[in-house]
Amino acid sequence: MRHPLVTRVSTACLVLFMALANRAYAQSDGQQPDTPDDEHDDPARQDIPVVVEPSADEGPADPHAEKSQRGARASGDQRAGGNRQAGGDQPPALPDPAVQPVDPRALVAAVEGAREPPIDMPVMFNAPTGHLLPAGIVLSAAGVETGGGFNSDIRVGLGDVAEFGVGTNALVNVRQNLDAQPEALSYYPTALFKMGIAENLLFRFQPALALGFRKSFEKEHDDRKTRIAQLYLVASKSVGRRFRLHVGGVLWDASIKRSDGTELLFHDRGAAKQLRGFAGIEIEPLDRSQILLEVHYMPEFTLGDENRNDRISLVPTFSWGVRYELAKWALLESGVRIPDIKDVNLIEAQIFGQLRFVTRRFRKFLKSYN
Amino acid sequence: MPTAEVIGAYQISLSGDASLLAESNTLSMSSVVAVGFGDIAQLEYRSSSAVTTLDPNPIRIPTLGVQLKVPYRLPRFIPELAVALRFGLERTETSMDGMIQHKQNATDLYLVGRLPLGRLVLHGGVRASQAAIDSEGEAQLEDVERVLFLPTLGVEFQITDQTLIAAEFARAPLFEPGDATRPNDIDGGFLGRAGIRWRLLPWLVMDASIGYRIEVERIDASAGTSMADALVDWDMRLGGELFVPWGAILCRQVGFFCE
Repeated sequence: MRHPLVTRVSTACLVLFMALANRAYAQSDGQQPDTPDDEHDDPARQDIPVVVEPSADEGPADPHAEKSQRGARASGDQRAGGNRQAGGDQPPALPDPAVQPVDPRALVAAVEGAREPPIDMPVMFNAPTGHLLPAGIVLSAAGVETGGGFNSDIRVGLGDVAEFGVGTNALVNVRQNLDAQPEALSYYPTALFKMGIAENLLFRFQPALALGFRKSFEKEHDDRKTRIAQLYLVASKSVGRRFRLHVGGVLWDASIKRSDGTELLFHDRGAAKQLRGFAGIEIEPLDRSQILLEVHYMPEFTLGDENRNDRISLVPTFSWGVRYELAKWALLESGVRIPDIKDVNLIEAQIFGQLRFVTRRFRKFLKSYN
Repeated sequence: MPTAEVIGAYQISLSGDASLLAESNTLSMSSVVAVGFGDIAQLEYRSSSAVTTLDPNPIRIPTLGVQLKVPYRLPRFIPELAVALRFGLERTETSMDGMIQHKQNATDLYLVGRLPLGRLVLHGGVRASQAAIDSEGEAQLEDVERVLFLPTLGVEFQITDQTLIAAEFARAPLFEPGDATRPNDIDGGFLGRAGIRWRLLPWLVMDASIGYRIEVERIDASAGTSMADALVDWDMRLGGELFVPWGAILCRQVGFFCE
């Protein structure tokens, strides 16, 4: 036989559950729960904009779309007297007396932060894309290759029109002489600045465009100091929801400073030798999974027996692999990189794995403050 | 280049930037303090650093300046105008062998205009620069003084409420200290910069840009080759500007300037 206390508790829980369910249903259906009519003028409630959740099909983050959406929401709120459900026959929304007043800016920031759409990646595996990180978003990466190379990168979006980053890579090769096999120069430190405009910003069908500049610090090895720099212009275009094309041109430069004070400069050979194209495609056969292919150029240093025989050249590199979105804040990448397409040597091919982390805290802070 | 805008009244602007100079692998800093007066003028003190051929360490270039904005509301398509005067304080460079001292200074008078065209803003002007090199330690090296008229041009495009893209092209004085075999010379060098300005917070602005450094042209001037395609010597610069509303702070704290 059931104890009377258990019966009372069960009944109370059932009543409470029904009340909550009724309230949730009324809100989802555009109705409001029964509340006193004399509270609909609460100014705190009117100041809270209603956030329309973007659907998954709305695509990547677009600050302007986001802004116009916010504007539309704000104007909609004004028309509806601070309640999106109040446009029909229903009375205006009324606050629950039990709910404490909430800072509207904090609420908007919290809701928008939770609804942040996925970002367009500013880089394939190694080649840049025309996309930029949204303002305040920090993207960091760390990866290794079977050859022992370590790549790392951290960059931050600046105002939806630029990004700045620093990192190290093992993509630049050096040969001890013309006949030697290339070896990766580990921990080559670089800094990056990239600016551009988002896709469809100026006109319809306009690709995302970015002008980027990456340069290195001096790297010492073999009694020499080397530097590299690249200036590139890249365009990215989405074709449908699951295909993206990236095409660009890059102007490379590099230098070798020898111990005797002389310096070999790649730009002395002329702009035609410096200019190269690069391209890549992204295919998304499954949600959150992408296949990437890229072709781009990297500098290679060849050291002579005597200083005079040093040489700088550009070698085409091909990479393919997959990117998987583990979570909103983490991506896993893995694939194969052939360091020199002209000299296809599968023994020299590198299998790489890389983790990328997306941090939105700074963006949320800026949004809450602005 | 200065623009035809001034810091607001009762405000101080503190700005600075850092440039990665690959030549010395060090960070070069510059800073500006500007005080606004009556929405038509500002007084500024500028301290910047640069790499030179004669000194492996960055040198300081202090400048004191005043800028006046034409205080009339002009018709549409007539640019706003401003005049800026920057007194360059003397700085001394020593030749590599330590025998010759080069005292250099440059005083600049800018006349600049600003024309807003919707989201696009054009800036243009001319810089009259009186530059001089006064050398000691080498009898045959003559002092040189020149007045240069150097054009400046800038363009801004507002992308969002908080951000804009800007590009600037200008010519600037290029000092070429001589020695026993080569005379002192002053010429105009090319300066190009493109970047963004992002208003993170109402009182904080961030700048980021890439540019071609005039110092590189100067370093390479002796070799007689063009360095515009020398990407390894372009620089990358990050800066920030902080606005301090000192009038409002004094009003709130001690009751001054509240009327």
